[in-house]
Amino acid sequence: MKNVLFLVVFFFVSIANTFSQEMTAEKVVAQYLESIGGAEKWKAVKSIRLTGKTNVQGMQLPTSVISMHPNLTKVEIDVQGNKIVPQAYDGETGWSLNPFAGATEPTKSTAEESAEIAKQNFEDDFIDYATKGHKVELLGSKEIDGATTYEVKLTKNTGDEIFYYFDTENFVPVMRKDFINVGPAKGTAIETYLSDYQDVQGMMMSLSMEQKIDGQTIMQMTMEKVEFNPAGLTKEAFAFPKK
Amino acid sequence: MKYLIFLFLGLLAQIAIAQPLQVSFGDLTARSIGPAVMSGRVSDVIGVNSDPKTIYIGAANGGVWKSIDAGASFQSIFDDNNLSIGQIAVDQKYPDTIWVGTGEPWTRNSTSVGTGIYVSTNAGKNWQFKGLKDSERISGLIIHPQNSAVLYAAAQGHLWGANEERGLYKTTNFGKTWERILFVDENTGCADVTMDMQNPDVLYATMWEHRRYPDFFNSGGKGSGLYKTTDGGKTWAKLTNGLPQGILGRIGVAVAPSNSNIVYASIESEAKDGKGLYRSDDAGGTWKKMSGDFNTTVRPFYFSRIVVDPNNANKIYKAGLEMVVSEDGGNSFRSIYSGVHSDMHDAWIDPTNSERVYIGTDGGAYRSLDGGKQFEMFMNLPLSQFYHVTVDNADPFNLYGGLQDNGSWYGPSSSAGGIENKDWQIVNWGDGFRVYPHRTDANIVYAESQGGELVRYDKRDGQRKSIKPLNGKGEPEYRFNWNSPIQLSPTHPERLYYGAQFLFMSLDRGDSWTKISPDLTTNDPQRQRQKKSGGLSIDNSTAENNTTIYAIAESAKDEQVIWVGTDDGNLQMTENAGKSWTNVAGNIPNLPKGLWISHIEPSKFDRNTCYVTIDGHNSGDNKPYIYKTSDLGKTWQSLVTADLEGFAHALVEDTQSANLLFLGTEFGLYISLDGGKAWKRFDKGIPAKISVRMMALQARTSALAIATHGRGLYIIDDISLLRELTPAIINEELAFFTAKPGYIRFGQLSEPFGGAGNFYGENPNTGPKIAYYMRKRHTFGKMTMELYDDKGNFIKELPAGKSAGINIVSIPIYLPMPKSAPTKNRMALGGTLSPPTLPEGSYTIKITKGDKEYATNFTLNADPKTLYPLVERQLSHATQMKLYSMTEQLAYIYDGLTTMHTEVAKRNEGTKNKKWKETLKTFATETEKLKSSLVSLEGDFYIDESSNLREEISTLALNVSFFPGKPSASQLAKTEELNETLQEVQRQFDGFKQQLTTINTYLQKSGLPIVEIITFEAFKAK
Repeated sequence: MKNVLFLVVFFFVSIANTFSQEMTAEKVVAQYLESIGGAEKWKAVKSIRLTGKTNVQGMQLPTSVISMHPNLTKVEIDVQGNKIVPQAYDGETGWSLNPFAGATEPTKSTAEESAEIAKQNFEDDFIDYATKGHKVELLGSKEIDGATTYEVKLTKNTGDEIFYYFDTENFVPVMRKDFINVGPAKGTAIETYLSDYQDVQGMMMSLSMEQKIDGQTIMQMTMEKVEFNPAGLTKEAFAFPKK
Repeated sequence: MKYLIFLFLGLLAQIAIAQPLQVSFGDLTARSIGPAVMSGRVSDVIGVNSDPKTIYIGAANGGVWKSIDAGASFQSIFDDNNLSIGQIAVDQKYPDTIWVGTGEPWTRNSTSVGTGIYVSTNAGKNWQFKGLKDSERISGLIIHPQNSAVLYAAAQGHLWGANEERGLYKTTNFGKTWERILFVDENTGCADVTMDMQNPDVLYATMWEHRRYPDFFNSGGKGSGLYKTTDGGKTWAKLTNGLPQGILGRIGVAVAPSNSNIVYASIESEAKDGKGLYRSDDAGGTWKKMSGDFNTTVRPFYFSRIVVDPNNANKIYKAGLEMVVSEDGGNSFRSIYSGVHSDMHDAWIDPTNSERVYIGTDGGAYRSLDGGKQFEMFMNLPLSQFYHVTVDNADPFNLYGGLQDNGSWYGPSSSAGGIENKDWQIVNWGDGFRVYPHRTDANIVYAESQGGELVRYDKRDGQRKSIKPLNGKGEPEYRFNWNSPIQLSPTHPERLYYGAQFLFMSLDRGDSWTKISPDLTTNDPQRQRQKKSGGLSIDNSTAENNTTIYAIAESAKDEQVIWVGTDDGNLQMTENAGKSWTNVAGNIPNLPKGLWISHIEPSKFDRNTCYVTIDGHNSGDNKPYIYKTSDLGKTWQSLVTADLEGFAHALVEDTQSANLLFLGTEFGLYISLDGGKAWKRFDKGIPAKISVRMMALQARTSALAIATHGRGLYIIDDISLLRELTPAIINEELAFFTAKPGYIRFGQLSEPFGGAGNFYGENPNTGPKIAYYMRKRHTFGKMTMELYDDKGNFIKELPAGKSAGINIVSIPIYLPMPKSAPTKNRMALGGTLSPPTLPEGSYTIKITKGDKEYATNFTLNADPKTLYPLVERQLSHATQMKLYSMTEQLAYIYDGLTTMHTEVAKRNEGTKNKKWKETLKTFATETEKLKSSLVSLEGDFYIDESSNLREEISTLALNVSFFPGKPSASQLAKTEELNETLQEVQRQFDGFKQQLTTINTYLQKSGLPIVEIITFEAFKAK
């Protein structure tokens, strides 16, 4: 009798054990891609427009983000009718506009900064990561925001390293950790917490993200509208504004 | 079968009941407040040869700090690991590869213990463990200059015991496996290793026999010696030619990087005249003594490192009580500038410019730009090594504590602009330990230095009075611990306790003492060897004073009950204020004899209950010992669980909940919510494995102050949330904690422009907050948080906290920004961005999570310390609100005028009637003219700006907004004047609206679309 019970308990314990023992970075990534709707669906997305709000220092500011294959991007934040573009990349040059920091005209980024922005790929780095020359490594398990996660290190073909923390239950990242590569804050870790995953046309997307440095929230963004391949969005939308 | 399942379920249920309370602490975060003014012990310093702005600082107990700007700023890069640093090695060929050997090699009494070797291949982003877990301290790590997979590691081994994993190790596979290539015996470790960089198979290693005991230190023995290999460690020769005869102690050794033949060694020897600095000019074949100066011989266990200038084989730095420099190959030495903290441990010289020198001391790290003459201190390394912490009841409250070799200090828990180095006040010098503010007299502070040197400090004049009890005629010599126990009575503000081997009590602030006990220690003469301690070099510093009292505690529930713990294992208790004593240590089950009683914590709720932590590490036992009695020490129950790591320093019971316990061990801070059945490590905002020596609860604020030995002080601001964490709440999907009132507090000025290089400790977040517990993290679906006033009016949406466990969300106290017309005037925009605060009153927070709603209320009050009466605050708020609505009224008019002139101009194009064409044109021109007159859009946002009505209103709003009291008469008059102007504009606007009605009649008749002006409400919603 005792033996049987022991066996039953052992069975439960052993399921848990074998599960974690056999987990690999490859499996985590495969599960993740499945969780977000499958790589094929995502590959059909060539551009995106997100509309929502940025919360920063107690203020709530209308925000729009557009990005396009392969690495074009522009974030626009509205502060009382004044437009801030904290970051944009038009395929050649990074640029920004921030009248509050004294830059009332659009300003081109340095070559070093542009190169950094250019490394942010539109397509999810985990899609066909091996073909692209990215590497993944499972570093272990870690508690993030009270959730148990798999810590996966993505080493991109550029050599950059990003640390992802995938929820062990549903395989979506609850946090990613990037490191600033240029400027005086080089080496500083930026943690981006991801939540409010929602199904958008069969694809699972995080619509709320919060960025922290040293545990302090720098900003939070909530997206209310997602448009895949929006009509009329062309490369010109990203271009450094002509006078 | 059914029966079986029933049984199985039954078993599960039992597991569930017995399951200790395990939760996630979520957003509950500790904040680091430094101080960095005195910094702390630095054991190792190294830089990157190819990029010498990049330097790494290894702290004795504070981890690894990296600077990429020659020390202007630092980042801590080793926080997830053991923080006691022995040696850091940079692979100079691939400088992103950093090796860290843990376990400080400078074996003072208070040193921590390491856990082996770690490597990062990305300059510190993440780390891998690479073995030698039981080596305890790594004194040297050398990477083969041509083959990065080959490393040598000097394992100094256990300090308080014998062990096998010590000696010199070599790996040829990047740390996968290690081979021990030099070993003497289990009492002898490898204390130093140096490589001839021109011939990497040539290495010199020093073996050191040594051991610490609670009451004694021995340096030296037959095992000590200097060795050389010329074949990468396959064979070794013991070097003796010219070195002193007889027994040797600790030896430091260094080959000159620029000349393979020149080798220096600092030798500790049995023969007094043998001690000193030696030099060999034939690669170790023969040696000549160069100097026996004080700093070349003093305390070899603590200072032995020799660093040779990479560009000059005759320039050497020898770490001593002072750093001494020789420029003539060791013939003569000079001390470096005296403003630098004493007790030197390491130096790094920039090989591209030998004038740049970095050193590590007991008081932080320094940089010299002139070859070691003048040094500047890095004032941004919070490596302070506190032994203890107490708090007072000031507002903001102060924290008090003493540090290893850095005196006793106090500083505030918050300060305008952040808690800076200048906020800290020193109250005593020497090694500092326990510091207590007088319970009722805010000017009086008790502090001490090593070996019982107790003082009373007065904040008014900064003077100290020595109040150490002195033995009377015929009395035995008093034995005071290195870290003697001062203790205040919790029941009587003037009662002060102090302990030698006897317990003393004073009622006059230490001016006189009453001995209230016999010798409470074992008084074992075998454990009274301080004066002979040190081995080959006598080290009579009081650090090994033993058979002394270490812990004292009076029960808050009964002043007759006093507990005393000794450093030799006695746990004494009196129930009659010292008339009679009982040693109850023998009642503790499974407790090895003679261990150090590190802390006693009588319960605040029950006179018979008491907790005790016991530390055996200096007897070679690193296990935690924690016990609880509920019958005044007759029986004891262990509170140790498998969750705990590290020997135990202190347990503190909450002031309100008997189930809430805080524990500090050598490897972290732990919290129990169920009286010690389960413990969970607290690692948010504080390194997981930091040595926590003491904690103190500030009762008024429910703040927990934490003393770490290596990373300064931390504060968890509000542990009251933990009191509410019951099994009921932690099973809820979402449950609010009791909301505390929030306060409207205005910011204070702080000095700007210090540049980099200063430490700023984080201030508490004093704004209103809402806290709730969630069983699981919110990852899927929408979750929002909304703020409403007491009438149910929506104010604004806020980002919700999504963590499993405790969520703490700050509520911004400001209204949403007003709708406003555009401007290119900086101050005016500032006004728009500084809306008024929410009014004082009560509010509702509503959380929508998926399809469920949760709501709670909180109140927003004035700052309790406000100087301004309600009527004045209300006038300020009303004025701001008036300017706020004027801003919006103007914005609406601006928007309406915009519609008028643009739309009417468009209709004009479709109009053929000449008379009407003229009318429409005039209308468009006049509305545009009025619109333009309202705002200033020509500015550069800085120095070339102008101001119209919109700017006048907003600039005034900005100036009124930052003061909580009554606005000035000028401001009030200006508000009225601007309002009158605005109302005149409104009348003009209304006039245009009238005209537009007529125009619209025409447009309608002509089949053209009319021009509509939206309502104010529609505009607000736009």
